[in-house]
Amino acid sequence: MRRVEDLRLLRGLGRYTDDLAIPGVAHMAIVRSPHAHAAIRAIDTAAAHAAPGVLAVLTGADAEADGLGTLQTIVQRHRPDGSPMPRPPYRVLATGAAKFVGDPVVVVVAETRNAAKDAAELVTIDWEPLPAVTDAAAALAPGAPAVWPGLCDDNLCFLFTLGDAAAVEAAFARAAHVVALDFRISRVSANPLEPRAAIGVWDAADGRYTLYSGVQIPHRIRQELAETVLGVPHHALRLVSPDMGGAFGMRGSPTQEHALVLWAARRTGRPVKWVADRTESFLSDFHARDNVSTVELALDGEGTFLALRIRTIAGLGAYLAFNTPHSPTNNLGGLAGVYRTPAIRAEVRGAFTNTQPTAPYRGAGRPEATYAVERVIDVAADHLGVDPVELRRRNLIGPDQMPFRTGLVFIYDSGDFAEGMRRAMEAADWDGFEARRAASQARGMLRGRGIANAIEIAAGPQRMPNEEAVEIRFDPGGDATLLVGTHNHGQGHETAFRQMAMTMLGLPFERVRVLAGDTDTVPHGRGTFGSRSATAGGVALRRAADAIIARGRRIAAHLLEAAEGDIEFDAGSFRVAGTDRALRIEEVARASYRLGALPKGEPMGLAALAVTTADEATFPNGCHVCEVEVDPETGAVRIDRYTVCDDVGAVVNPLLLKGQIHGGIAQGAGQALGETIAYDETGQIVTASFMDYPMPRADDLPPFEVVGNHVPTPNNPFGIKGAGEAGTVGALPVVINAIVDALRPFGVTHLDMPATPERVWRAIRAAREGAVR
Amino acid sequence: MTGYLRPATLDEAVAALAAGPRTPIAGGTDVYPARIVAAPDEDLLDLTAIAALRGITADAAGWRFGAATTWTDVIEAALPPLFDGLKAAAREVGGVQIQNAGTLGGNLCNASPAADGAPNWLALDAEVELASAAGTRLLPVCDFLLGNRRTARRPDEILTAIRVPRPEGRARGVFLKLGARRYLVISIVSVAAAAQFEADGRIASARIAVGACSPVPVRLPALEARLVGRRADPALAEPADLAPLAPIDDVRGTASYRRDAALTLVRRALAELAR
Repeated sequence: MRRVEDLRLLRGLGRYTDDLAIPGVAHMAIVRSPHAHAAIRAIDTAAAHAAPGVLAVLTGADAEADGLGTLQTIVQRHRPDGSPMPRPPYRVLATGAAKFVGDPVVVVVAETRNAAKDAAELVTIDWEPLPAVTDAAAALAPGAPAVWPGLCDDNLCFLFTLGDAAAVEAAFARAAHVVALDFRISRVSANPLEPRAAIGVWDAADGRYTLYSGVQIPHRIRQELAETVLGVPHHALRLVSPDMGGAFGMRGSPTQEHALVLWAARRTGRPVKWVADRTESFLSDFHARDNVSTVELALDGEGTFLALRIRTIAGLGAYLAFNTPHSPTNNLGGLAGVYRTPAIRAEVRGAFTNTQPTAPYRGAGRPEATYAVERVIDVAADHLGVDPVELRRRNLIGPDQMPFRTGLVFIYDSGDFAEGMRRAMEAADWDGFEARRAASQARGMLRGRGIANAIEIAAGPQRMPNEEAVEIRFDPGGDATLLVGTHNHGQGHETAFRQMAMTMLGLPFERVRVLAGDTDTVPHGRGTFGSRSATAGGVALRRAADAIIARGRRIAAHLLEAAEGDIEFDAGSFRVAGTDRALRIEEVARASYRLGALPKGEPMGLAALAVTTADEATFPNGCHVCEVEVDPETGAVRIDRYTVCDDVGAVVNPLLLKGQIHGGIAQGAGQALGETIAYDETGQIVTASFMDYPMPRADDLPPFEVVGNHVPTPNNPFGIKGAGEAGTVGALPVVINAIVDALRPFGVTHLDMPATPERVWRAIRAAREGAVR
Repeated sequence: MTGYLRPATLDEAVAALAAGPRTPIAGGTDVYPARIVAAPDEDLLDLTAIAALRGITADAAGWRFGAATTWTDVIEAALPPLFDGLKAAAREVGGVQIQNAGTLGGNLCNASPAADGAPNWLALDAEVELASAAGTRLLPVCDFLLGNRRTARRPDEILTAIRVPRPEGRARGVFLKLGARRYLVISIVSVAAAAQFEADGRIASARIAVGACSPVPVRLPALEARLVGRRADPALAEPADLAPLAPIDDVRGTASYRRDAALTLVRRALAELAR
């Protein structure tokens, strides 16, 4: 089935935040710090106040005077001595000092967008530039400039450890081989097609705020803004999240701009709108990843993995946003990969830097973990002179070993990893590689191939998955509306949930409508993140559908004058068992609203709300195979072939699934090949436009071959494992594995992402010079 | 912006420039993005209504490219192999929308060191035609481009056309560029080459120009001289031939990488000419 939302979205009929026409709307521009670190000695707003069309010029001092609260992180971590991590004040506008280029300091509200921008330029700030540090590893070096002097002089926000240190030490002590790899996971920006936007409305009559803004977790963000920033009950804030042009984790947090438009609306008595342009997005969107790691693998004489350990420095940024410590610490279980490695240990140091806060981004720690294990396996294979496929096979968890408790945190429920590898290699024509390599060589090109097994937790956390809510409401016409707590940002939820409702309730597709993103109509929701929506939303939908069917059975029994126990439900019909007497679910719904149709005392109407959790998280997995061609003279890399065999459990819609896998691969390949947020020595971003931040384009990627090896999970009623992040998790390591393989003739054993032409050229040159020496 | 003029004739346009300073604009693909932060405070002179400025004509002496000719016009024009390099550049200038709007004259007047048009015009031995109230003058492109964003155009002049002389015998052009990805990217290095061949396939004359490696694209005279009388061969290019280049370090590439990649592309251009 095709995506129903595309008819709307592709014809320009989508409704994004910027499309919403709010009567009387004023516009907000934000004065942001031009310095990576600077004290604010004075702010002069007089000229801006006097500029034409200006309604308000607001500073952090005004916010404080109005009692506005600060944003906060929900992830608690600790310093090495066990004390709670320092939590720098994350104000809606910086006071005292700005901590990164882009840190908001003043807002201007005016009649038009241009008037606001013009007036913003008239704000004069007396800056005293201070030393800054943007690199995560440099931030933890002795003598580095402190991002938060007095609060955290060494920039070490937290130390987080996981895994059995003693067992790992013992395994390394008796290992026949130990290999190590230093690597970096670059800092990237999500760059959704639709820039961030927000409209704040204050209704003086109701004493109530409304926020229009595309976010992944409307109810959760409403809670945060209401409780911690505005100090109002949840119901005094309505959050409406319309269509979104991409989110990728970046829209999963409350932001300063959310708070600012609401506050400015109350101050000015006018609806207030803010829309980022692309440069402002680069300077103010949450960034992601930014890890400096050393991973080590211990093996016995036969190549069996004995233990793995990793030390990571994670760049957190200058502030702790809603989920900042989450990505580097909460998905470390992925370090086990699909292997039996019995002992694994991780140590993560979170470092403050004079940069944007980091936030989850497609995978949120999963691609980083998989990258570590899949890269170090290749290094080990190289070191031992063993075929990397063979080395992986020797250590795979077998399907007969399920459920399998890994060496770190996770318990896998299902999966046939050897079969996945076999199918991926077969579809990739693994055996035809040498012929293709010879053909490349004849043209002066280097061909390399990589393989990587990906596995990630979805719809977690493990043992205690987050809840989700779905309400099914039948109207008196017999049509159903699904009010779902997850939120689509391009994946095709409307199609998927309508399909699922069709299957569960036997309703025709056109009689089901999906509604999401409005906290006034959708009763509750946890939201969309972590590859969870089909699973978590599906489980809630199933429970709600079960309640509808149970109620419908009782009503149908009454209408059909049969015993409730004799009513069977199948394909949308309630039937008296063994007879042809039946009522369609639509008729039952209509009857439920008809006066006198139901027995006395039976509640009227047909609706059910389920707020519920799945029993357990799931573990989608897959095997990625990639072939690249490298130009040895210019270093230019071209991905020539890409194959993935995925296990996402049961599949709701094959087309949507492929869309998720394709997009995920493109996102991972983009980071591997070119994307990176780079700073100069003064802390300015030097890749803050699409001129210098090369997003992957269609012509950078080959057609993807996507095959399946789907093993349904027992952890939810549908067997769904989730697919949103799978492509990215595998793409990051497999692209780099393939490039390093292509450069193997020169003796190159590693190359950090992004594999830009120059970086590849340098690796070749360094290896050549090394060989001469 | 305080004034916007869109005359229908060249005479009106020239008169307008004689009356006071205005920024000439054609496709606007460079002018507009450079002024997105603040509203422009200069007067604009839009040249796109002047029909005489657009189109490609040829006579015995050579070709004349109207300054307002778009990159799409170049792609679609029937041109001899001499212009294969120019066509390749046209296909790689931005996306299709940019190719439809951006003009040859605007690209040259904008004088970006990384402009894809400039090295081609150098390789084609082109001259620019500049019109003012005082008359029309011709200037070789190498004298027109003075530096990063600087040209020899006087404020009262309009660049009206780019002229390319007709070579004797068989001739071919080549253009190669390297960026962080294939399309829609600022060049790290670009190389344009054009050669005229004797009947026996030896090179009668050749011009090789490198872009994005100096404030203005430059030719490589030592190499050009060495090619005369020989068959095109990558081995003829030597590192010392790149002496005229002055590449810089920036986020797109370091100087040493640019220099090395330039040599690679020059050699590939020679290999291309040998085909």
